[in-house]
Amino acid sequence: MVEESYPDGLKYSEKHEWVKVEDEAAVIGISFHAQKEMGDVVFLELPEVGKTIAAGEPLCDIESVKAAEQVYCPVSGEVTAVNDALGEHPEKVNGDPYGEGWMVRLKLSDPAELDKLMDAAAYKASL
Amino acid sequence: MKQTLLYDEHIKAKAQMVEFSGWGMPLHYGSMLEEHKHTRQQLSLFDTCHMGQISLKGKDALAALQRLVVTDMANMEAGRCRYTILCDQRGCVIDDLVVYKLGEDEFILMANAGPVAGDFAWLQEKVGEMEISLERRDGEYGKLDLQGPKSRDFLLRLAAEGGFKLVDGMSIDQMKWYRFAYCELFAVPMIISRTGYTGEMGFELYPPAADTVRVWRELLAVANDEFPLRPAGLGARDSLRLEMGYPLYGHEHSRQTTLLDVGFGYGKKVSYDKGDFFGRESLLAQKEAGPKKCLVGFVVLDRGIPRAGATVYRADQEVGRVTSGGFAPSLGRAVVLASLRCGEVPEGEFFIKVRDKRLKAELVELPFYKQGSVRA
Repeated sequence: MVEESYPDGLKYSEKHEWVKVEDEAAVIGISFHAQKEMGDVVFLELPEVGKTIAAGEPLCDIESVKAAEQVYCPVSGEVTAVNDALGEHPEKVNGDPYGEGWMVRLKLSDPAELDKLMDAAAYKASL
Repeated sequence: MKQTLLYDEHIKAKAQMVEFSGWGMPLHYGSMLEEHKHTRQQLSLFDTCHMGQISLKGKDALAALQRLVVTDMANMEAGRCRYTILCDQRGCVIDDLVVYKLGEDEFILMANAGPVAGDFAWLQEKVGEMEISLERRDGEYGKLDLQGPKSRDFLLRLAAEGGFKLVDGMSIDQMKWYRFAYCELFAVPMIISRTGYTGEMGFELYPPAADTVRVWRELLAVANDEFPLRPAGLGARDSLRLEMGYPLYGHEHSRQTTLLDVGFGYGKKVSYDKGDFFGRESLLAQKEAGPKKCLVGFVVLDRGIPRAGATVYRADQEVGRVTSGGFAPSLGRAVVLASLRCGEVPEGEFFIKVRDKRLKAELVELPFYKQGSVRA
């Protein structure tokens, strides 16, 4: 079992996604809290590379042993990469939510949106 | 929410708790998938204290039972368990039960948590005039399920170390499927049966309520590398039973389903010739007319998990409904139990609709998981 953590340096949304900014790109996944609530993840349907998604729109469908859920896109942009390894190993979302469990890389269309997200301390306080 | 005797143990173990039939129960202690796999490969301990236990005693106990359940109980020996069904006059399922025969005039009925109060009221009403005493014993006794391919060897090791013995002096490896006996576990006297709901070799234990926490703790405390006994929650219990195609009250059967419409070979449990019993006439009439529904299993070929209530299609026609659905960890795919209408169905491929998607599904023989150690 992975230990509860909310790394500094990431941005967090109210819907429990995290965003890691790397230049003009954003890597997106779900927080420790989100994966714990969801339970063991068994299927993911990631978006296609090239798709443009607006902040607040569904990013991917995720199915756990408990229920089907949607992950929402916390920032707007174009999908430049998805984590195909999750197809074979969806359990990485639970086992390493901030590392190998990443889901999507976006090219940010409006970096100012990042300011609306929480830092680790504010997110932790919101849980 | 009601709390089982082991509630504090679950909280201490940081279980994720969930409401089930009015009880606060552990869904899992970290990972449902891991608990499922651990039960298939090693051994697990489940809190099933929420389940109902009804004691039926007295001169007319057998006669009462014969009136109440659909299966002939006259030919049953003491020390045996038998799975049967309690029906109402319409032949609809009130509950499924495992009956333990303690002696010629003494039985225990193990019931589901949700319907047990209704079962008990039904029994009281229907056997009013007969010479029997009817009591709920679930307040006095706990229930622990020890399940997994290593469970028998675990008890053998405990026996060798003096922590476990059968009162009649037999060895636990002599105990066959669906038998029970009296034992002492950590010096606590209790009933042990070779039964379960996982498809693996396993036992159900009925310690007195006052000793249940101690037995739970001591069992987990003696776990080691060879016998890594761990607690498992209701999530794994459900996926384990689903892989075996075992029915669950409220899903595959309920007061709204007649026994013959449940499928599962439930029809074979009915002893029409044993004399009158509740539901006999209705069931006979239905048997003549032929069943309206049947229960089948599908493996879902596309990615996605149909849950209870999802609609099953063949070609483009609606042919039934999912009664239980979930991810089957041993298969790496989702599986469902579904109730299909009998008679004329179109040819073609089966689909199950999940939200806006149509998932391809393949009709398969039950159980989904065929390597279980249950009868080893």
